[in-house]
Amino acid sequence: MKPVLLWSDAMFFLLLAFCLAGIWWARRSPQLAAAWRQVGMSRTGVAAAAVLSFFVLVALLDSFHYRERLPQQPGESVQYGVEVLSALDALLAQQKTRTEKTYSAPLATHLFAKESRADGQGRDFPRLKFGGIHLDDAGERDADVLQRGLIGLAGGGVLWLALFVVVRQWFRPRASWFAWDALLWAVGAMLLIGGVLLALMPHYHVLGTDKVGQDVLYLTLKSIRTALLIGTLTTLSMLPAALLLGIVAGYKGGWIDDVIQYIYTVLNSIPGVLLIAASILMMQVVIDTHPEWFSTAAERADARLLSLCVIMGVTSWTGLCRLLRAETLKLRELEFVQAAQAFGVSSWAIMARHILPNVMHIVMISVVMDFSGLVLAEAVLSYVGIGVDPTTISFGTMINMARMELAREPMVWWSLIAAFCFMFVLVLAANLFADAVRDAFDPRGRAA
Amino acid sequence: MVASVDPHAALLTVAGLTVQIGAGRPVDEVSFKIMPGETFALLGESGCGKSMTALAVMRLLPPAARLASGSVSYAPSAGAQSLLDLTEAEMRRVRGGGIGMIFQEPATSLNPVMTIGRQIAEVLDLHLGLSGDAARKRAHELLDTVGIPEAARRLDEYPFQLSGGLKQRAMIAMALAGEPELLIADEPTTALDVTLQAQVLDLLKQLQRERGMGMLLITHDLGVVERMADHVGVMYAGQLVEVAPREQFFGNPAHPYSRKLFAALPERAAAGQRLSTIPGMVPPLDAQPAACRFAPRCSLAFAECSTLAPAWHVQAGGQAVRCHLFDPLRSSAPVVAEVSPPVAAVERAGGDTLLQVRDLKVHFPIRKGLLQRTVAHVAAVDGVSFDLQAGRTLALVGESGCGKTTVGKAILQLIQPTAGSVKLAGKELTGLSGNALQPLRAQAQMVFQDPFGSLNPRMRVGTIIAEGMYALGLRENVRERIAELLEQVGLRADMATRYPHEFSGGQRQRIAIARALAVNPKLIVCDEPTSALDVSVQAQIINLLHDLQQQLGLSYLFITHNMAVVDYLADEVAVMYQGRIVEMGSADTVLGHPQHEYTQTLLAAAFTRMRGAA
Repeated sequence: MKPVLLWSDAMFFLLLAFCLAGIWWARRSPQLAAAWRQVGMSRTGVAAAAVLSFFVLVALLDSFHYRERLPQQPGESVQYGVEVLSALDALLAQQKTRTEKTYSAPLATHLFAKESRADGQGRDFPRLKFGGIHLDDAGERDADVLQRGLIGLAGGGVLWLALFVVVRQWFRPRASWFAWDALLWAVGAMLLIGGVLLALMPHYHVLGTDKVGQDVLYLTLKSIRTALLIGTLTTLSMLPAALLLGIVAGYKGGWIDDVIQYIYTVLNSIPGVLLIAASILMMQVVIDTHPEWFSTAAERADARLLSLCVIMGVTSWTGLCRLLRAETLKLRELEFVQAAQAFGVSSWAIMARHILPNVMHIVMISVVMDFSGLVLAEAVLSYVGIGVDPTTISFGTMINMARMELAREPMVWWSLIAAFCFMFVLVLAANLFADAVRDAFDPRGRAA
Repeated sequence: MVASVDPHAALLTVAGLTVQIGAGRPVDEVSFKIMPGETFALLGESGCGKSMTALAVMRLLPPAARLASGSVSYAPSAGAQSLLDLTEAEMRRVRGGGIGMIFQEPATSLNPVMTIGRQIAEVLDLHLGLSGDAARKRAHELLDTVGIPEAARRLDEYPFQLSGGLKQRAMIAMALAGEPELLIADEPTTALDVTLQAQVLDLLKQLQRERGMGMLLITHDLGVVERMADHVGVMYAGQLVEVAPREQFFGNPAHPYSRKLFAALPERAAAGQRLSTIPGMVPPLDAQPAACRFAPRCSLAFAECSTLAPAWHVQAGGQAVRCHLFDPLRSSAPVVAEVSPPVAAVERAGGDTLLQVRDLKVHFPIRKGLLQRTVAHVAAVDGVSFDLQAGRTLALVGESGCGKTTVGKAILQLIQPTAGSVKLAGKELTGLSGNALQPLRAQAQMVFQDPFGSLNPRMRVGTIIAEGMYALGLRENVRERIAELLEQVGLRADMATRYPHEFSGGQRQRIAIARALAVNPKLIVCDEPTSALDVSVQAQIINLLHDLQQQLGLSYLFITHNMAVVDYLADEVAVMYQGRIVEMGSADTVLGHPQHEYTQTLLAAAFTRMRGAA
């Protein structure tokens, strides 16, 4: 086995490291610790954080990439497989490898479409290759699903109970301010659902299969990493430009403001998709003309994903920039800014100390709002064929495929629903968490 | 419906009105009556529930508040109605039709995209069914009535084309359009300049006389009350504490709170003497004392005050007071004599000239067209010259828009002066660039008007105070210095770790003063530091400024429109009008024997009321 570090993995680890460093730093500063304590007291905040950390955990597992060692022939040097796998792939090896022929409904034992029977006697729904093969009679499926589901539920319940006891005996007395009950509810719900899924997964395709027979549950889990990366990296590449230009334009005014305004008006007046398409195609040409840069297909797909993030960031800073400029125009007339000017505080210090903290709520809100928009934008771009690499699994490509599936008769609904549910939970959790954080860090909102 | 008109029947009867927000009661058991043709003034500091009372009467309470109990009976000539029992549709006919309302801020109570004529016509259409030419004719008459010149032209103008005073007149015309029998005026003159205040109050008085309207006047200004009211109700923390006819109230205010309000007025104290203040502040909604709400701040409080809610006690002349001191069952007679504050008349010796301003001009360019070419200039400050001695106070007086704030900012180089010279301790300030200006920044600081806008809400008090010290390189013993400053301005040292929103307006202004003091300035430019504060708090801040001047030998350039504060605090006065100083001299001379016509108008408007009350 040979570990592979993709660029996006590095970015992801770096982000996590920053978060951990932030937590460590916050523990040392009593003021920050108090604000985070406030987050810990908010029930929605804690529940949302629990759900989010599940998503982050999945994405993290999906970021440990490696290449498998091929069976070694005597006398040959060590060879590695071309396919780059992740820890998540290893965990879900069954789901990854057990592909059916084509569509099958969730928990089905038969394919979704009729096929000519092997004996040539008309057409019938053939049995799946993997889903429900342990059953001799497909009619026993409901009872079997129920039984396994209940066992899974019971397993989840037992774990929950254990957690409940541990929290009650161990954690709650040590930190009674923390919203433990919210944590228990959120984790409990995830444990129960997870228990059922885990109990059914070895024997069924819980969320069905897609056109080429891949397990939809596996696809959705793999999509989480792509969504998180697009949501966070795009935002990160957009923030510096939006913050700097927006605040400088608003604070400095005059010709600086004019120049910045002209720049973003021009950028805004070019249709966004066109700009992104042009950049992506250029990037694609660069990638294609330099095959020597990439040793595997995964690295090439990864480069495309990263460039997509950067390009979407570069083209989408204008909206936030305009909001920040307007807010700064208002703030710079406030008297605390003038008081700082009267002390001879430098412009940069005023922008950093007095303006920036007072516009952070706008940044926070628009970043979280953009998050879902960006994941969807990725779907739109995939539709035009300029999104992520076709080999990259993402919500966008899943939704894009759903276009055709929904037009089928009878309709194939499960991959869209699966993508929708996961995205919905992810975006909702991010929103709620951001709300809780914003409330905690806004000194005006805190109880005196 | 009873159609008979009883001249002795009250126009509006409010009984036991209680409004609840959560567990708090912003309006608690308020009862009063307004007779036709009479003005009832609700007097009180901000947050005491006066506006909430008016909104409750109009049934326009914010969603969080609800009417807990009480009744409002409105008895116009057409017959009595209980306002709280009307349906929303019926209530809409009363609002604007039966009861008109005028708001505090004329700039925001008119719709900026509708002409004045159309806004008045809207009311006429709703309540009188007038439209077309008839409505226009009536609107024209209304504008004439409220004394707007060239009414025909004004009908087609938009609110931004009118000055503040005209806007308030237009608002009054709108309120009158429905021919109301009761007018509710919520701080109708607070946002206006003194000279305009007088005009608008006179207009209201005259209209009331002509139409026999009842009026509910809401104000915090004793002067306005004296000029307008027939009856006065003093509100404190949601309760009425005193209701009296005007003569009785001004002749002999009974409730300790009313007395304190009078004593806190700068115009009632001799210069150099400390102003009487009310310690503490109005209790917040969720922490109102159970018994007498004023007890914690009352200097005359005794044991019963904090255990037993006082009942109403009616004095001679119809003066009703809610205070244990007036309980006839109490053995000791009420202590009416005011404890006079200690007299500490101080000589303020004039020192060397600290600030010398010569021919200061600030012109703002008017830019037009695609390339933003400067086509003309507005002379905000047009040749201002004055001297300020060390340890003395110069008051720069004038109405809004006369350029007095611009002078202050130009002296501190927050606005680049167009021409002229500003010398601080002999050193020229104009034309200096950022770094060269730095040492002089420590010598002159500013205290701003709005205590809510002048402190960064995201920074802790300690950081706010330390900012200037760091910026000017005073990095030693910062922590000790912050503690010392906070105590100097009457706050506690441990407040340094709190955020500004945890403080009241007066406390914030103290923080702002501490911030200015942090760099040991010789000159402080005070830009209307008390105009956003309540009377009792204003007195605290003025006392503080006064004390600091004694201790530290500060010079103040005091920018204000409040003549009473000038009278109390200033050694010299400069009166500004349209960017120029029209009169300057010692405070006694200028206020005692004003020469310029404008100064005379200003003083007449400001003092007619209070001199009579003294």
